[in-house]
Amino acid sequence: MNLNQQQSEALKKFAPQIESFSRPALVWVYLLLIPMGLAAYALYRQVVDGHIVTGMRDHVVWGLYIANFIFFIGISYAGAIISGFLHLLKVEWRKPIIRIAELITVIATIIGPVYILLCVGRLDRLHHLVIYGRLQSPITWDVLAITTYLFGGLLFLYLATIKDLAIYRDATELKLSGWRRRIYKALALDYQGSPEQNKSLAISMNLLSIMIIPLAIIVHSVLSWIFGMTLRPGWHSTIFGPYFVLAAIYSGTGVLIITMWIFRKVYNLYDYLLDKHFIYLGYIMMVMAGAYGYFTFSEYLTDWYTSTRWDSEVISKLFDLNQFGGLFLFANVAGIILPIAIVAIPYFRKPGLITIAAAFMVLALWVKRYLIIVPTLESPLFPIQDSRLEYIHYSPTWVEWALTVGGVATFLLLFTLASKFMTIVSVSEFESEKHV
Amino acid sequence: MLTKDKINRLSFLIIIGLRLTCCGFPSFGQTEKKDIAMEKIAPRMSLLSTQINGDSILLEASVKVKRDGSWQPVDFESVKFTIHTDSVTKALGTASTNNMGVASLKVGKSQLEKGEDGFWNFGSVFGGNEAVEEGEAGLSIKGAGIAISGEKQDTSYSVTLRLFVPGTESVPIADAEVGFYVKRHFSNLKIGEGTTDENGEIIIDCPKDIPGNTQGNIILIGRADDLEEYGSVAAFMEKQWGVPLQDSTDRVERSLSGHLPPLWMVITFAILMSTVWGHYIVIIYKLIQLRKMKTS
Repeated sequence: MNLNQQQSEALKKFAPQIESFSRPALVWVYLLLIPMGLAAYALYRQVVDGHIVTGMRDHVVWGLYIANFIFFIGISYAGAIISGFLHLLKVEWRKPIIRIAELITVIATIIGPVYILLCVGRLDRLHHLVIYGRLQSPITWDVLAITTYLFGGLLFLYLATIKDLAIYRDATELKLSGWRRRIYKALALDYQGSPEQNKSLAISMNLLSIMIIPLAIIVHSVLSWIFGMTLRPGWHSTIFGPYFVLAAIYSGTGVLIITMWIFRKVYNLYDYLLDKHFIYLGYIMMVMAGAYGYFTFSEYLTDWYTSTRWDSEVISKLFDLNQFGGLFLFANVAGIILPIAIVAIPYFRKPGLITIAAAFMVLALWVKRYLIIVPTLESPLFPIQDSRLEYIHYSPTWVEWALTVGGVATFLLLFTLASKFMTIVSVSEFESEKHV
Repeated sequence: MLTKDKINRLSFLIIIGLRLTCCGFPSFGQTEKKDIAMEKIAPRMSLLSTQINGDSILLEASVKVKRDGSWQPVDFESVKFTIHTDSVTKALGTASTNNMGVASLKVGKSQLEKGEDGFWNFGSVFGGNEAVEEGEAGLSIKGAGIAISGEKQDTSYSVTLRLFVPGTESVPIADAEVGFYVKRHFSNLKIGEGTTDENGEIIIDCPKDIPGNTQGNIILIGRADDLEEYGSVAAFMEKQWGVPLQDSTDRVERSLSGHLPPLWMVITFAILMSTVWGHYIVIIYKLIQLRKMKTS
């Protein structure tokens, strides 16, 4: 592979990132292994003792695990939007960030469904989903949609990485072990940069970019319909489809901003991940915040106004500071108002503050997913007198928290390992004089 | 003009402000949860019996505790059943309370010994747990017999129930209030009631339009509750007197709740999946072809 000057400079800059594990990187990995180890022990306790070690009981049958599942699938939208949508629009400034976006998509889509498995009581019957699957069930739609989405995400990441893999294969100046070069060689599929190969790759990328956007919309809509098609207060809403899609774009953008900031800081990528990347993504975040706020307002205003008994019960829980009010306040202030305020005001429109707003927003959206699930389950339509209080009210246990933190640590670890396998900014994208 | 220092300070203030906003933020265990009292509560226990035709007795021990002003069942706990004869207490068995706090045990009459007074003296004991004290309940009953039979008349079905005290000369139990039911899924359907005559008998008509199972079978129950010396007495009889159930899903083969999905759903699903996976196959094919494309 022949590289132009900018590609050579980029490769030289990124070489240390993929050549070896620095001491700080090793320490970071070991630190991540601690919560993962605790999560493994928590999983062991759950498998041996059963779901009694969680806070889930007769009434609240879903808790942190499902909130985490929706959260991770939600943030996977980063890749669909940035890679897919901006690729089709041929937006140049997306190039340094597409690798990060695609990795978020793939890793999040791998981790998210694991939480479903943690929530399932009888894993030995998992194959029943296939042999007794009912096409009428939103659960079946979800399984098929996420499987298809994961495959598409992996394929998209691979397509976008082939050129870089060929560069690593041929870069003799990179100090790589023999087995790594062999892996790069195998994965590069004899790509040499010929016009035919470039044309073939371009067609494939365009096809997949077109495909991944409606696929992502379908995945998040199907995910929302598991709730929207259930006759429960707070769930049975026609707005849930677009609401979840919007929240996914929103949270995905936030995670992308945070990841960009971390990598820029750690690998000193200030020449590649510019301030304007944060600002442009900040604009997307702000617009999404506005739209998300509108959907949130519409959803709760409708429920509140109709004053149906069961909807009012959920609304009253969300506005009661002794119950879920604190979380609800945080979810709306940090999730809607803060990002808009930070990005809208030019003085505050800086990468650092945008990243802080994104971090709060991502946390707020995780809390919002929790608030979608738990208050509704604590408001059943059947009377619950004579039930134990601990059966009615949900409180996550250390097992669930450990597995939640373990999932986040796994996400970070997989990201770290991926960043050691391929450069976090795509070298091959620097094909013209101006790279951004 | 905001300097970097000022922006950092501002960031810090935003973080603190948000933290103060989230009063009760870590309250994922949201409601004012009262800790389960470490002091043990005394349970309320009761023991009921039902003598069933076929010579068995169903013993039901209920264990409840009062918490926060309401009676709550003590579920999934072990209860021992005993029978006391003169000075000897014999264990009959152990059962766990269900989610309603009721433990059930069926025993054969033949294994039971009566006391000198002619009564069976049953007992139930709950051993207590970390929150609930021990408890016990007792019950004394005499043996009663119940027989149920049915006859098909020209225009109806009649059900005859006889209550008696078994012995060399069976003594009828008169003036006992009896209810007749058909067993349903959640609770039983009452089809008649009355009082036994001087012969201990009662006859009622059974309606002909009661839905049965797919074969038209129904389970008829004749039951006298809380007789003074005998406890509850019940007889069961299965007859093919019901209207055979049509499996409604058979009539509509394809529906949301049916065995097979609606056709439009299958077609939509097939189009979507084949479109997406078709694209994947094309792309994978192009990737395989990549190797064969010569360098220019």
